[in-house]
Amino acid sequence: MTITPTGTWTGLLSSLNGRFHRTALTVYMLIVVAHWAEHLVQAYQIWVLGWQRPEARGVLGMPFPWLVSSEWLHYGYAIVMLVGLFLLRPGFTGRAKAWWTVALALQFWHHIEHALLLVQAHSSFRFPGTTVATSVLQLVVPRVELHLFYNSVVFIPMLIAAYLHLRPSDAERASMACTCAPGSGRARTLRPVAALGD
Amino acid sequence: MSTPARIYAVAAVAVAALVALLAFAAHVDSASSADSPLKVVSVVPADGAVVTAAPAAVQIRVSGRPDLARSHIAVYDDGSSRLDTGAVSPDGDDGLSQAIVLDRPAEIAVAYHVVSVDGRVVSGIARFTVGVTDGPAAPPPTAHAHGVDPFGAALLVIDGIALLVVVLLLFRRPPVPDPS
Repeated sequence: MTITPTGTWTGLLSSLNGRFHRTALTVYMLIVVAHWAEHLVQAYQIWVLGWQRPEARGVLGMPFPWLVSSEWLHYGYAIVMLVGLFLLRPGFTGRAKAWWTVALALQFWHHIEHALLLVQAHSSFRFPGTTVATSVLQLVVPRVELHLFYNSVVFIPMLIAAYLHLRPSDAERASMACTCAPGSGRARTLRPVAALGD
Repeated sequence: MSTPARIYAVAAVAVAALVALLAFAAHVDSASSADSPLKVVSVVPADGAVVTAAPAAVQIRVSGRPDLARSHIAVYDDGSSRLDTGAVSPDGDDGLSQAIVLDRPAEIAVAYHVVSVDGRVVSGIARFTVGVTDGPAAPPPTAHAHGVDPFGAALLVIDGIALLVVVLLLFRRPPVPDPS
């Protein structure tokens, strides 16, 4: 897909990674933390309240039990995570951008795993030697719930990136187009999209 | 550790090490569990439970990987009529699910005989009651749950600690004021 630097898309992306980067990043991190909190509530229901695991469905899963078992929902969340990481990446610079890219790469693989689970949940396709929907990593590490493993290996580099973005070095601050850190966002405007994929 | 190349290298090594550690832990867990007796981890509906609506299936999880061909679940009502329908099916890596047909209140007995792929056996009977009041339907059985196991709980704690550290660092190290 070719995107012209002067197009509407570039303008939106430029605004998202410029004056709206801090707001977008805050909303995105709130979604991520809310997902973490939901699983924390599940853990509380299991180990503190002593509920059976199928009954421990977090907060939203209590009125909407199908949420917990819906592969579409989990695939949707993986897509939202991936899109957010992709769209907000141009606003990062230096070390923060490298860590954000690490999170993006890992989330891309996580999303592939969810896509494979979704296909298996809605078809008879199975990996050789398995009888249930299985992710690629589960072939190597069976009998372990890997959803939270993937979330953690994406979450930690994301946190490092967010911290480095909010506390940049002088060089990183000078190249920032957003206003996430004090003193940033005045030196330049965001480069055209074609030049952002460094 | 400041250049992108070094950051990518550190991240790749860290993820590879974590996966290797996980695979090793799973191997050790599998080897040690092969020496211990097979146990029932959970039955759904639970033994002694009173549920308001008849479940579409009963599920049994065990401390091993069930051998589908050698495992059986028979479900009876209080008149000794068989309620199970169709063959027993897998429910995750460590569970079995047996579909039942029931549209009335009843006392249910679930007789199970589960054989793991490494030859261990556990058998017994669990009982539950289907009441007369209407209530929310039980969630459908899933082949891939997004629940929280002890490993996941540990990761949630690590995530929480990481989040706390970052928030504290942000407070302890204020942003450099703009000199202009």
